[in-house]
Amino acid sequence: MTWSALTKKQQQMVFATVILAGVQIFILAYFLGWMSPSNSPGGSAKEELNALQEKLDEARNVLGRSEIIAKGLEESIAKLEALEIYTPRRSDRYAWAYEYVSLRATRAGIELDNLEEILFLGDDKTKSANAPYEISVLTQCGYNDLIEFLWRLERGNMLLRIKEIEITRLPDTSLRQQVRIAVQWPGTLEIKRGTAK
Amino acid sequence: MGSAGSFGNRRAGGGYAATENQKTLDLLEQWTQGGRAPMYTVLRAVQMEIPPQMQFSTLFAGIREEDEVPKGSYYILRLNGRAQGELVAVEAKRKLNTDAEVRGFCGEVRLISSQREVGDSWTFALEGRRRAGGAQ
Repeated sequence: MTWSALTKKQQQMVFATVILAGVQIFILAYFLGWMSPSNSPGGSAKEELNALQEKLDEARNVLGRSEIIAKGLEESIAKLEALEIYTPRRSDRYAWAYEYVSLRATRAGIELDNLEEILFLGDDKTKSANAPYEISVLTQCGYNDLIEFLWRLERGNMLLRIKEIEITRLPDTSLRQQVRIAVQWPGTLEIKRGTAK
Repeated sequence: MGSAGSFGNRRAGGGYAATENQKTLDLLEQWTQGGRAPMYTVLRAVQMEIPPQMQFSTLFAGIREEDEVPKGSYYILRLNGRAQGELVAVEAKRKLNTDAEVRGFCGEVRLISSQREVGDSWTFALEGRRRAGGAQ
């Protein structure tokens, strides 16, 4: 059978069938990703997958760093909490310091004449908050008792600092002296706990 | 991505807190080191090195802000008193300077005044000072 033997209607049907087959092949190729990936829905899915993978990697990275930071924070909090017991409590510093000093004075056989809080006289609140906490101790005692008292004060608290000591001879006796001691602790021990957890 | 944002904020907060805590720890370490020996060891050393012919009327030991150049904080040991014998204060100065605790605290001790009071009785003043944070 030749092309010329077909009627015009048959020719038109064959032509339409060929066109339809071509269109079906094109559509099939498009959805199977045989064509350029950027122009097909399958390629778009790959790109999206790659983007998601990148975000996942980034999140893993952030998570890793976060664990390191959290560990460092926990360690620093533990160290500061261990030191916190050596500083006067912010709410009632004088009573805390009084108890600490008075107890050691008694053990050293010393009677305290006065224990006074030295207040920071300034307008700068930041400086005031960071200033060391200081008390002044007045007593009359012998030199050996004084050394024992200082030993008990300094050995019992790693953050206590004797800022200065002034010993003045009393006119009527050589067994005891007038003693003034300035004792300091760090002003603030603020522990930052972060916002995590 | 609301959850990622809040996660990032928490991470940043934890990092800030850890850094601030480390700063506090460094300051406390500086505070405890202080560049000097405990005060009881200094006073014990002074007691051991002062000869029996000497009596002090005042003793000061501590850290003070001084206006002298260079301005700053100084560890100071100052002794004033009376000695029986002209060179007793010189001998005391020599002995104090051989003591590691004393030198570590205030550097070299100097005899800054010596004056006959009556007969063989002399008044004296000894002083050592070292800049805080500086070389001993």
